Amino acid sequence: MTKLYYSDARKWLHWLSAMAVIGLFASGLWMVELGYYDAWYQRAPAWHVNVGLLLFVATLARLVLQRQNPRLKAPPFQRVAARTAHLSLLLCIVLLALTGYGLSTADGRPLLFFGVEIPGMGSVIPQQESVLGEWHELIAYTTMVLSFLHAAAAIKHHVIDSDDTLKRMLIHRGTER
Amino acid sequence: MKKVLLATLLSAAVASPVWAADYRIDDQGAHASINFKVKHLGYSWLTGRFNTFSGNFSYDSANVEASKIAVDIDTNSVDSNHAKRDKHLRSADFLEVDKYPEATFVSTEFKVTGDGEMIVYGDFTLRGITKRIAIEATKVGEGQDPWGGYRAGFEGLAEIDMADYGFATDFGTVLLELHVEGIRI
Repeated sequence: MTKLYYSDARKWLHWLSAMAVIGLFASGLWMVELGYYDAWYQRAPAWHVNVGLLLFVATLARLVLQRQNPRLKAPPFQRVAARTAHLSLLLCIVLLALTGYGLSTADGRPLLFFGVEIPGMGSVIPQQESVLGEWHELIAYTTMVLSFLHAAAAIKHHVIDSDDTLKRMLIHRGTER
Repeated sequence: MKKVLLATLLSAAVASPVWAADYRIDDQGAHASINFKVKHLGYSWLTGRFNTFSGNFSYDSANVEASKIAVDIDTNSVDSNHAKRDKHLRSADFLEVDKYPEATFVSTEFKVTGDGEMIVYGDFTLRGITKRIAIEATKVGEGQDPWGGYRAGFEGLAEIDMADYGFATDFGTVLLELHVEGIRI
């Protein structure tokens, strides 16, 4: 049977991920500008990694759960567009995690996830940390553009079309139908 | 044609000192290294190196003053044994390798200060800025190698000030520790 709504757990995953994406983007922009003697120079990247890895795990789960999405009541073009945007966003987040991991551990040192060591990747391509750093930045901007389109579309459905596209993602709403 | 050839040979013979030999720095066998060290917070020395470079020199122990050396360094190859720091060193804060992929040293004068001891003056170009620097150099040794070649090796010390080369981040004086082994060509 096709579901008509998202579970509360998935709504939470969605909104926490949204907060993480925006927070990670802002912290990324901010922390690369920090001076060497800034008190946050070491701390900010460490938290960026912690939150980034949490988002990575959440995103893998959300990718698996995509099959259980409720069916969209929308014209074919809109359905394809929305689907493409959703998958691209999730894919971007996965790529951000992978490039972040590769650039952080290009020298083989482990990555610290809340103090727990995750084995480093080592170097596969020359100047890996610089190359992946550029990719990380590029994909981050792409993610923000996609996020903006995604949010704009949701607001358009709510305000202009007056349908429940946005409402059914709100927690404690939509599930009562 | 013969005349041109003869003239070329003659001018080459006149221009080069009789015994001076030309050497290629053995970067293939990695018997040369360009190391640097700089103070970290004033508490310790941070060391690093440039892994990719090439160069030639001519040297004659009987006429050291006529010696010459030229080295090209690939700034992208900076290696401080820490990926994120290397990324930072390649950025606009330091080497700005996108804009300045190469650093060069070309000697202008060899001054003998003792037996096998010399000061090599020359133009060092880094971040597109050329300054005259002095390298205190010592010959380590020279002679036949076991594989039919002839080698000569030197070590050198030099200091540069980051401020002289327009670094956006200034950690003061950088010490260069140079080791060069050349194979006669």
